[in-house]
Amino acid sequence: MMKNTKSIFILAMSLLVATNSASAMQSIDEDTLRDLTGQSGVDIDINFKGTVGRIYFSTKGKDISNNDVTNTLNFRNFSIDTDGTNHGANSDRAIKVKLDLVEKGLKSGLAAVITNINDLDLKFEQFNVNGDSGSGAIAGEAGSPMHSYGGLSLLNINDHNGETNVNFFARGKSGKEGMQMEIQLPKLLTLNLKYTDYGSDNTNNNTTKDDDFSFSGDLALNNFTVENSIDLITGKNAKGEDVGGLHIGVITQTGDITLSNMKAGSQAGTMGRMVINGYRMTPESYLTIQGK
Amino acid sequence: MNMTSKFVKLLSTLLVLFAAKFSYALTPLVDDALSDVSGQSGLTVEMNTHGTTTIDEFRYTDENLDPDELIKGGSLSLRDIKLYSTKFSVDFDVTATEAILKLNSFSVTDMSFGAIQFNYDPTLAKINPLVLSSEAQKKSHYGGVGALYVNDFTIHKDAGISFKINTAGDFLFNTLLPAGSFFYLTYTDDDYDANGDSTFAFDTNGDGETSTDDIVGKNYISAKVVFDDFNIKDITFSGKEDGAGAYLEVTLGDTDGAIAFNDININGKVIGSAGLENIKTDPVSYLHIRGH
Repeated sequence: MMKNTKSIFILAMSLLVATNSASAMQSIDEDTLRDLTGQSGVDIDINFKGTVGRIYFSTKGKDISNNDVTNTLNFRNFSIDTDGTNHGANSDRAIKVKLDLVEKGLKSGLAAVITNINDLDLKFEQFNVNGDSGSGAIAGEAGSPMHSYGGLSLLNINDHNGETNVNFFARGKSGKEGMQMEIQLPKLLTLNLKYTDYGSDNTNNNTTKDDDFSFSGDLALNNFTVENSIDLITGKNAKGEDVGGLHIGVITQTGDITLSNMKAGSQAGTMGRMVINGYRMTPESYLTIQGK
Repeated sequence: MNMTSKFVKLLSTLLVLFAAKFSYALTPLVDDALSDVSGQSGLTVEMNTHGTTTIDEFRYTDENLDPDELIKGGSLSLRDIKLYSTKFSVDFDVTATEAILKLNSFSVTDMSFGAIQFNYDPTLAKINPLVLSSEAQKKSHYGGVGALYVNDFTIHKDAGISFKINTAGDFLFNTLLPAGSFFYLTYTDDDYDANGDSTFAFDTNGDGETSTDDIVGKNYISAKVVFDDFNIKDITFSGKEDGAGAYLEVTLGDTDGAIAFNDININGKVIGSAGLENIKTDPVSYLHIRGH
C-alpha cells in the first residue's frame, strides 16, 4: 500500500511538474526520435502455469430411435506453462507482451508484440467424443470406453529471440466490414510435437505405457504469416438457401514448415525430415460457420 | 496513522458521499425494524438507479509516436454505453486486518455498448449512401467493430463477491457465482445501417417479444453465459518498485467451478454449446503491467 500510494503521489507530482514546465521543454533531435517506439501503451509480463480440466463443444441431435441426444467433443486437461524449464516466482522467464492502439495505413486497432517465448508448453492430455466428460484425472480404458483420439503436446515452443506480432484491426478506410486478424510469427519458431494414442491398459496418461503408440518430431516454422478477415455475414446461395454465419476469409497464409527427427513408437532411429517450402493459401479462400 | 488506515478513511468518506448522492432512493426504517438491530457496526450502501444511465463515449487514447509515421497512435471508443434500471447494495466493514467491500444484493439488469470503435471522429457526418463519402468519413465509420449487449444479468442471491484491502497493503478480489447466475451476451456486427437505423430485431430474453430489453442489429452471435459454482479466489493487485521501474503486479488466484456458453446462436441458428470446467492456476502465475 505504501508503494502504491507513493507511486500515485510521485506520478501526480510528475504530471504537475511536467505541466508547469512545458515551456522549458527542449526539442528532441532525430536520432533520439528513432529510438522511440511509443509514447504510451501497456507492457505486460505474463508468467502462467495452469490447467483447464475440460473444454467442450456439444451439439444436439437425434439418435436412430429419434430420441434427443447431445453429442460432445471433449478436450481434457489442457495445460499451459509459459516456462516449462523453471518453476518458481523468481526463476520463471515471463513472456513479454507490448500492447498499443495503432493506426496502420487503412486499418486501425489493437497491436500486440510478443517476445521472450523461451519454453512455452501446451498440452492436450486427451481428445474424445462422447467419452469421459469428467474434468479430473483421466480414467483408463478398462473402466469405461474413452472414445479417445489420444493426446497432443506442443513443448518447448521457442521464438529464438524474435518477435510475434498479433493485430486485431477494424478494416477502416478499406471500406470493408468486419475485423482483420494478423499473426506474424518470428523468423524462426521451433517446438517439439508429440501425439500419443493411448493403449488399453493406460491408467495414467502422464506416464507412457508399453502399449501406447506415439509419433513425435521437431517442428520449425520459418517466416510464417497468417492474415484472416473475420465477419458476420448474411446471404443466400444460388439455391436460395441461407449461407450466412461466421465468415473467416483468408487474406494471406504463407511460410515454410520443417518437421525433422520424426519418430514413431519406440523405434531406435528416426524417419528423417519433411520440408514444405513456400506454403501459400490462395487469397479469398474462406471458411463459414453456420448453424443448421 | 499508516497508509492503509488513511486509504480506508478515504474510502469510507467516498462511500458516505456516494451514499448521500443516492439517499433519495433509501427507504426509512420503521421502529419495529429498528428494534431488531442488535448494535452491529459497518455500513450498507444501497444504490437504485431508475431509468437508463447513459455514457455517450468512453475513450482510451494511445499516443504513439513513430518517426516514419507508418504506424500512428490510435484510440478505442466505447460509445452509447447504457445501464438499465440498476439496483444493488454493498456492505462495507473494517476488521483488525482488512477493510471489506462485499456485494450484498443485486437485481437483474441489462447493459449495452452501442458501438465499439477505433479512431472514432465525432465531428464527421455519418455516411450517406447517396453522397460520395470522404476518406475520413469511411475511416470513422468502418473503424467500428460492432456492438455488445448484456441482457438479464442475474447474480444468484448466494453469490459472494468482495474486494478487500489488507494490512499487508494488498488489494484482493474474490468472486463466487453459484448456479443460477447467468447473462445473455450478444455481439452484433452491423448494429446500424447507413442511415443509422436498426434493421433487425432479436428476442434476447426468449420471452416471445422483441420490444423490451432486447437488441437489434443485422448480423449477430449470442450465447447464454452460465456459471456453476464459478469461484475465483484471491486475485491480488499491488504496486511494486518505485520510479521508472514501477509496475502493477496481479497475482492470479485459483479457480473452481464451470462457465458455459449455452446455445451459441449465429444469425438465429444454434451451432451448439461450449464451456470450460475445473480451471486451476498455479500460484507462480502473475501479470506485471507497466506503461511504455
